[in-house]
Amino acid sequence: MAQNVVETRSLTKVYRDFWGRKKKTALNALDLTIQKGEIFGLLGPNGSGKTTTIKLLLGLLFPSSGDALVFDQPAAKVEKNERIGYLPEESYLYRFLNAEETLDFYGRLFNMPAERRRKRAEELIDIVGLKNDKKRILREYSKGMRQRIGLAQALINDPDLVILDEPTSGLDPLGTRWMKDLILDLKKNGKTILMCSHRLDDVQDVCDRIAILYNGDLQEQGTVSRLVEDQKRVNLQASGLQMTDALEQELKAVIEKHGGKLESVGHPTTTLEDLFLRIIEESKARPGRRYLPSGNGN
Amino acid sequence: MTTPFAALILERDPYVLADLPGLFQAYLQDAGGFLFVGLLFFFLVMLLRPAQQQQTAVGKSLSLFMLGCVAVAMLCYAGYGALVMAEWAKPGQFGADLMNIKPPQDPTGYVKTVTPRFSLLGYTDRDLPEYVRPFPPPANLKLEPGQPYPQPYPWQALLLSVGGLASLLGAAAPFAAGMRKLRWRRVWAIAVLSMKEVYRNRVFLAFLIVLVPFLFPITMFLPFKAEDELRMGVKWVSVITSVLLLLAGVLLAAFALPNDVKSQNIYTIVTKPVERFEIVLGRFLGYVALFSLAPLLVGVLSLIFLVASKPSEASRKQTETARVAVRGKLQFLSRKSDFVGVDVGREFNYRRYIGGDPNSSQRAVYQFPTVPSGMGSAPGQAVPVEFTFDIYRLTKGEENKGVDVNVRVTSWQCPQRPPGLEERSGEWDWSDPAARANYAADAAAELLKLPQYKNDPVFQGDPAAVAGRAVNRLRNVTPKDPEWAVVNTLARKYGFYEFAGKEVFDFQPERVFVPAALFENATGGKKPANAPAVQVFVHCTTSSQMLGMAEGDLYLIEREQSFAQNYLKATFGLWCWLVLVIGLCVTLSTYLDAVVTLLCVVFLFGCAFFAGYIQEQAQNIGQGQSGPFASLNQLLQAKSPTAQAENTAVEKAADTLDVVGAKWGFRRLLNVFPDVEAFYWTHYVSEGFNVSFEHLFLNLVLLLAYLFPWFLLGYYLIRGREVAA
Repeated sequence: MAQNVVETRSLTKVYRDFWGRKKKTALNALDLTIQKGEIFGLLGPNGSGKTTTIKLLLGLLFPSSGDALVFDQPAAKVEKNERIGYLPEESYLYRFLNAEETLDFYGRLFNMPAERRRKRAEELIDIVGLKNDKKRILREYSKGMRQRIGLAQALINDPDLVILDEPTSGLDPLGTRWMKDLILDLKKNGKTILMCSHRLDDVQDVCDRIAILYNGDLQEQGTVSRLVEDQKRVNLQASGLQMTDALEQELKAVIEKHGGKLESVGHPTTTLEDLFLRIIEESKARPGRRYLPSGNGN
Repeated sequence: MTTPFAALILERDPYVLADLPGLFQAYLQDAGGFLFVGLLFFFLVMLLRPAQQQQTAVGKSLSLFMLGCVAVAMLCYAGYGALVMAEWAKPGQFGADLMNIKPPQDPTGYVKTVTPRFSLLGYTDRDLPEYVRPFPPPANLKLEPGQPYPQPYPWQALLLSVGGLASLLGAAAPFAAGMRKLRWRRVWAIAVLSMKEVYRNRVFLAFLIVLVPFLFPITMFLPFKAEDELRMGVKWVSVITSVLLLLAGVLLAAFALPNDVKSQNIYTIVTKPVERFEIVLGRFLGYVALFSLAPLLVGVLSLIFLVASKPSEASRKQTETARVAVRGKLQFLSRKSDFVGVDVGREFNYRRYIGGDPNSSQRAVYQFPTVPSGMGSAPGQAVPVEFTFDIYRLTKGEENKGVDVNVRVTSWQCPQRPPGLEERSGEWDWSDPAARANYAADAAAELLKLPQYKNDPVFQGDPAAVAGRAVNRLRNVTPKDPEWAVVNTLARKYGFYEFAGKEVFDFQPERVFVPAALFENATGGKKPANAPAVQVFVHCTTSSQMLGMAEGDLYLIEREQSFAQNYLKATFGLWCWLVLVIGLCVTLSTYLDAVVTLLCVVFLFGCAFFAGYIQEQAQNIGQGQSGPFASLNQLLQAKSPTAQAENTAVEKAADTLDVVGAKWGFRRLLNVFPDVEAFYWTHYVSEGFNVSFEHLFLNLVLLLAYLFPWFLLGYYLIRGREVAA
């Protein structure tokens, strides 16, 4: 039986003013479970309750009703944080520290011995690609670099559960791909990941299961493949031939014979992200100008 | 620009170890009372706000313990209330709180000091003797001289103390349980972070740059009297460093936690296995560590500047020392039992006066309950008695001439008595006339042993006359005189010494020397428990002049210590102030916004300097002065403040509310203010008096005791706070 890492039972959060009057129901009776080793995505538009859910699980907010359990312990328990790593949406770190000092500080908060802190910090700085910038204070970092050091601090304790709030926010496409690869690597190492994001392609690329929230209510939950599958349509892909009118007519006839209707036929397109990454990789291999403008100026 | 008084103004005594039991009792009553209210509020929030329960709830057994403590406290307070009501029902009583007791007719009729009670730090009843003493003594009560007056309302005091103790235990139990979970490595990490933040943001550097110019002695820029140079330099540096350091401390500490919350940096900390109170403690300790260095650094720097400014010899003589003073209690006595010293009508009524006349029986008597045992073997067989008096002239007097003073020092073995009402002479005599006669005879015999007196015709003839002359001859000898050995011999045997005709000037420190053997006499034998070991009688012999003095104006000098060491010791007081404001800022900012925290701390710290005034106003309510309720009534009725009271039901109700409610409210308000004056030592240093380690230790105790309830508050607030809300 799979082990639940996160479980919420009718988890509700109502924001109130100083006098206790209700302002907004940010989360309404949320029930969800996240199992060990999976990547779980929380999706939803702004104000749907994604970040509120994460804050409740981290004990940054207290539930109005219901339960939030992490590793079978109430979210308010400090002890559970020993096994959690958290990357906030913005990298909220002390900007007067450098990368090494930042990781050393967070390592101390886990009561780690000095030698272990030093080794772990070196290792993580290497992983997040800040080896050459480790002595610079964070004030001088770009947003992407801060996101990287933010991720490093989230991993300082080698956590079993990593909670990522908009992990690709502020990252360029290279950084986004690096982040997604890292998330997949974490999964390979047996970590459980809970992430929330606006960027649906990111979620689709890495998540095993997702939950969609809207206005504080859970709208949908399940595996990505099941949720995105359209049972009423069929995709065909072939290689080794050119598209001709004769081929199109023949395909149309076969489809109509089985009661279907051919909607379109043509060459497949790649995603913009794949195109961008391919161009960057090729440019690295062959430096120099690649784009030559056509004669009409287009 | 001159200093108003070249003397240490001691409007209150510093705390000593003997005050600890009384302070502890007062602490239980007052801090416990506040914590009781806090506990009730805590349980109310737990009931009404389930959201807070999960985070702030304590274990079941702890909850039961807390509930038990609240129940015990409730019972005690109910019992106290019942006793107050019972006292009220008695005719002639006006409430049972000490604040409501009328002042006595004869303020010297009872003892001077009473164990402090009924108030929090600083505002002890020792500071309010006239409000402690008036408790009407039962007719059959016989008090020995010096015997402490029995505590009024002992059951009420006990109930308040037990209730306070129960509340303190109840409120502190979760805190104590939480402290076991603290990991000092984490606390230290946050403390170091705070220090790095200040250093890297160059706050400290900016502060030091601003401070350094002010450390130069003010005497370089402004002219002062020669003897005031060092005194004013010390005061100037103290004021500037206090203001700047406190400002820096308040600003840094008040903004630390709110900035963490605002910038959301706190998210990455509380999502680690960090107890929330560790953040509070870490921030506090970080700033305290940083600001521990600052007073020391500033102290050393300013000391170098002061010494390098080459102050005048006169100023060095007065200030560049650290006299270890032994102080006594002052009583004004005369042949009339109701003499309490003369009030000459000065606005600053710190001193009282005795009339000057050779035949006056008025004496200012300084009573020393004990004297240090080492005084008997003081170097040169002489112990200095130093004094600085105020002369209030009734006639112009002679130009450049002071007034003459006789200083008589006696041990407990040589009791003195005032002249009777019918006696013409105002001279105080020995209680035992035979001992006086023996003293005179011995004085003559000892004096005649000296070669210069053996053949002196003045000391030949009638033994009684010779004895009289010998006593007179010994009334103004100094340690340099050969007769000093004689006065020591006599003082050792009889415990008596008198120096006559010492000329004193207005606010000029003067000294007379007392034979050290007198203190041998005072420490020998079996002294009655309540008798003062040594008494100093001051008699002004210049007619038509009045001599004013307060308790701090005369003292014995045990020894003198290093000025530099004393100067640095005084910075401990500044350190206490800094720790106090940092503690207040950090604990209040667990819930309040930075600016609100800043205002609250400035209010608490600032008002503490006016606590004496507030206290005075509170005491006067119902004793000739209207309180806020009576004033409100006058305002609503559009009556003039001087209008005749009509004794209507509303006026009576307002008066009662003032006496009972407003006084109580003021008292509680005073309890919230820190006792800032207890940590102020600059006047000791600037006047050249040693700051003892005993006082500094008590400063530390006071500081920790005052901050403890605030830290409890901070503990509950940070645990119950939704940092992401």
